[in-house]
Amino acid sequence: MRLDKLKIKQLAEIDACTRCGNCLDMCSAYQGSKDVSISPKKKMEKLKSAVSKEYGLLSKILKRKLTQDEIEAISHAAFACTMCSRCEVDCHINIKLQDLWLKLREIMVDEGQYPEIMNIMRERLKKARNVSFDTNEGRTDWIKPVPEVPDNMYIKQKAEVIYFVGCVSSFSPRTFKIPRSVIQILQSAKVDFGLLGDDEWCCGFPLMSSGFAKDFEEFAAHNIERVNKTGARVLITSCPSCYHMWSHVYAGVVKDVKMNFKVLHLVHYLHKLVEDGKIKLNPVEKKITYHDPCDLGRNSGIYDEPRELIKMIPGIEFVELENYREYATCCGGGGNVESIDTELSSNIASIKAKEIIATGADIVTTSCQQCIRTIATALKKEKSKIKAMDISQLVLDSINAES
Amino acid sequence: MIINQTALWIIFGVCLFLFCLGFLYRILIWMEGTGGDGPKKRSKYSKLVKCMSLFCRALFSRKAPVMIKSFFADGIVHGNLMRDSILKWLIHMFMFGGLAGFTLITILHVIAIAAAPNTIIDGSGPWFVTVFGTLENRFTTIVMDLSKLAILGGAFIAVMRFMLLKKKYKSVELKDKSAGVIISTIAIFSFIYEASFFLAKGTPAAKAAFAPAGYVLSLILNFIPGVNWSILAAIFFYAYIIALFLFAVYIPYGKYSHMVFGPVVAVYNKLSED
Repeated sequence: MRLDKLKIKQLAEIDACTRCGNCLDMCSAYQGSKDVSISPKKKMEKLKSAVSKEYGLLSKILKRKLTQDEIEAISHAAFACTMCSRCEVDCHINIKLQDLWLKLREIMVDEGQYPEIMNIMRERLKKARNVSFDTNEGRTDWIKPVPEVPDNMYIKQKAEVIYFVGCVSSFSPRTFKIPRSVIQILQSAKVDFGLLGDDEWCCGFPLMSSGFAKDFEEFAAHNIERVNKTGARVLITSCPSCYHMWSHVYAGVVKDVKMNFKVLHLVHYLHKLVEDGKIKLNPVEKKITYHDPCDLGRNSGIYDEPRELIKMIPGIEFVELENYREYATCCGGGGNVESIDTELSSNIASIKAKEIIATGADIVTTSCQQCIRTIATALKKEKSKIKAMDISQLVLDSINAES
Repeated sequence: MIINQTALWIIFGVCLFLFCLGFLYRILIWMEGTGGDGPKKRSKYSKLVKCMSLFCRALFSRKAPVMIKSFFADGIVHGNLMRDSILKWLIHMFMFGGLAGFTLITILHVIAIAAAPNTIIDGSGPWFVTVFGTLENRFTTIVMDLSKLAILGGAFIAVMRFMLLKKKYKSVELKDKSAGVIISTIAIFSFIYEASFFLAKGTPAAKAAFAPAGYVLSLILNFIPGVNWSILAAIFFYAYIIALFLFAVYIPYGKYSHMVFGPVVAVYNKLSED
């Protein structure tokens, strides 16, 4: 196993882990499966043993090597992780676990030890440039029911703002309401915005988070080049994973092309539109709770803007979940676990649904299309009447509500 | 109580050498990793030199106060753990603090005895020997006794917590349990050494009471007739220091390397966050 791909610091972190089990309490993969072998603590234990077998003096003398079963066990644990970073919050010696888990997936990919379904996703992305089974020409099919859409479907040569829709919102009918709401809000605020249409490629997050580190570079380069061409000053995304890629990963990957625009998540942009008086929010008399998506919260540090935005809507009674901000639990939709282990993903979502139900809210809102999908399904399974909606839908409802 | 000083120096020297060798061995394993400087291939030793120079540069830069603060707050006091659970934090502080205190005072005690001008532990000689070379010194006695009580107290709370927890998280490994048993055994050996020492020397209660556990044990053991307390003290002295030093030697080679590397990583990651 190519453990020399780990950084010096990461090998030190493996030795530094106390294996106290603090991370076990809130690890979504462990809570959803009760299988301790996939927990962060056990992954660390397995990694330490792997390092010893790979580089230890005793192993060199006795010619001990990692067995196939051991490698498979590490791979299983690595790909059962939702990459939610909750373990990183719980680690009291600040180990950067998220980076370590990502690197571990990369190593497993190099070893050829990863779930077969990852290959399907990889091939699909290389061929169609999106995570769905559709061709990329269908990227703007969701737009059809939106009123007052110009003939160019907002696919313009030049625009002040580019809305990067993301694969899930573009191709999953259950989340079409999100981009539809976004463009209606932008229309009402009279923003000069555009879409990339079939020039929009997947942001590459599914590849990066699956360990296919080299494959997503061309996606990053293509997307940056396309947005630069429009002369946009701002790029907005409604997907937290796309936002994470654009704001935290792209610049480090595509070093020779500069991004000539600012990257904002939709909540930032909506917050600004309300503050600037470009949109007027009318009362919505509902009890609302907010779920922090992992890639927007823990992985990008955005906690305040969505809460402030919700509280800007008159009439709303806002209630926090039991675990919120950096302590929020995963919805089960992260880390490609939904496609690798559907049951595990569903169990994690069910825990989340119970937490939401306990708040007594009418609506659970979030800023992630993937979270909407998993939470809505789980709430349905729990026979709850709580509605799961994106923050853009809530804002649009407020704009359209009678004052 | 007669101690062979040469034997003590050999035991201490060999253990210290193996301990340092263990750390070098671990650190050289880390150097198998990438240094974050792209495809450039460096030798393990070149990476080690680079890391050392980066560390020294950080230590003598404006980051030094952050490093020191983080070392104590994150590495030693474990502020994050305290915010998470006071009980878990107490267990950690008792066990880690106790073990650190016990090990340090034992090292000083052993060096003082080995360096003393005579082979009989009576604490006579230069100030270092007078302070650390005998259990009749109040400071040494109280630190040695209370640090062990802290270890046992921490272990007791941990066991109670585990037994009373509704959810059993299977987070306690066999290695943790074994370490608990080994450290407790070392602590008990050391208590017997304290008690035998007091009985052999006829230490007055006013002095011996600074080691409450050792003193109480000496009162109990005093009921056993016909024991040569000097010989027993010497036996348990050797038993406890050899066991403790062997445990310390094992630290860099096994799971417990986190005791030393935990604070280092906590500081490094804190610095990179800042």
